[in-house]
Amino acid sequence: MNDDEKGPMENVLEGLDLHSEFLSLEELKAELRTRGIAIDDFLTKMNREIAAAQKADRLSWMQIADDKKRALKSIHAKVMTWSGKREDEIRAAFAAFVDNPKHECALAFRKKSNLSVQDMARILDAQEQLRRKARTTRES
Amino acid sequence: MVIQRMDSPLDAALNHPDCQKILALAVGHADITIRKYVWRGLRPTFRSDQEILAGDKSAADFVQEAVKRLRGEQRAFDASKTLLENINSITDSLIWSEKKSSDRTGIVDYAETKDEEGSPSDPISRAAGSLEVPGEKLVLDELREDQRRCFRELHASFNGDDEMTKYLDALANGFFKPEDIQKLTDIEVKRVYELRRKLITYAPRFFGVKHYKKFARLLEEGESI
Repeated sequence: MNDDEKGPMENVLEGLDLHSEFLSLEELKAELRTRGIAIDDFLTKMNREIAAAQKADRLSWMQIADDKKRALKSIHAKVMTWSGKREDEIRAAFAAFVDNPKHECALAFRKKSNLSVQDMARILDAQEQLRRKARTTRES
Repeated sequence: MVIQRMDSPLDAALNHPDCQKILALAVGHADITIRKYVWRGLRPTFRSDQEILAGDKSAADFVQEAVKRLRGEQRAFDASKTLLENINSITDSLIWSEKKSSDRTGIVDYAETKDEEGSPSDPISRAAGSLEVPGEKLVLDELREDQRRCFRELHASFNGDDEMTKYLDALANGFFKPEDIQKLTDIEVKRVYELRRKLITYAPRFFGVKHYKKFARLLEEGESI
């Protein structure tokens, strides 16, 4: 619409529109009803639609979170645990872990001569989880 | 641990306590936009005797569609603007499209003619240049004169109410800011709000519900107002 060519009625209508902001919600509704608009029905319908759409959004976000949680659980389940293995296997694996120069953190355990087999299994499990986590981070 | 999802700016605006008023203002704006286009040749229809329509949609339908487009991200929510400005921008564009579509519907009903060789000829495709068609200009000139006449009648209906007639004069001349109206008319800003409020009672006179219906019928029949 070309502003230069606006006639007086268009200007009056525009002014009344801009000045509608001075009206309270109830006053505004009263005027809209006079203009033939079923404003209460419309607002009720919009409230319902907006609430339903927002609920659907929230649920879809929760669905994503649930999917990720399930995926993480399945990864965790696949992690091998050492506690179920034989003592000689655990001792051999732990010795290999401590002697491996790549494992800088293993230095901390070298002087621990009184570690139990269960402790060794736990340390090996933790090391395995760390290794998997680092790999997953690199891949993503 | 409770993870809380942050609301998008659109959701935050839609959940704001003022949202009801904003939606009502948006419907009022869309309704007035349709009514302004009537003064540009839009032929409106009516639903339930009074609710004005552009095409087959009411102001409320346009607002509902605007919110749907924002939520569906067909239209981006501009967080630097208010929710009302975002909705109004979309409804303006939708109503303008409806007006253009209505204009096109109006010109396809041409009389088929034949060229020198007797083949059917379409006078629209043969028209040279993109200047305003003389017939269209004539209609717009008539509509502008109708506006002036309608405003004079409206103004006269408040004869004796000095403040109201000054307020209407200011609006008709494009002075919308209450501060500007105060400078122009000496009516205090607070009083401008009261005058606007007073006009709720006279809404049918301004929004011309009955008049527009008659106006649309007369346009359809090709009679002068």
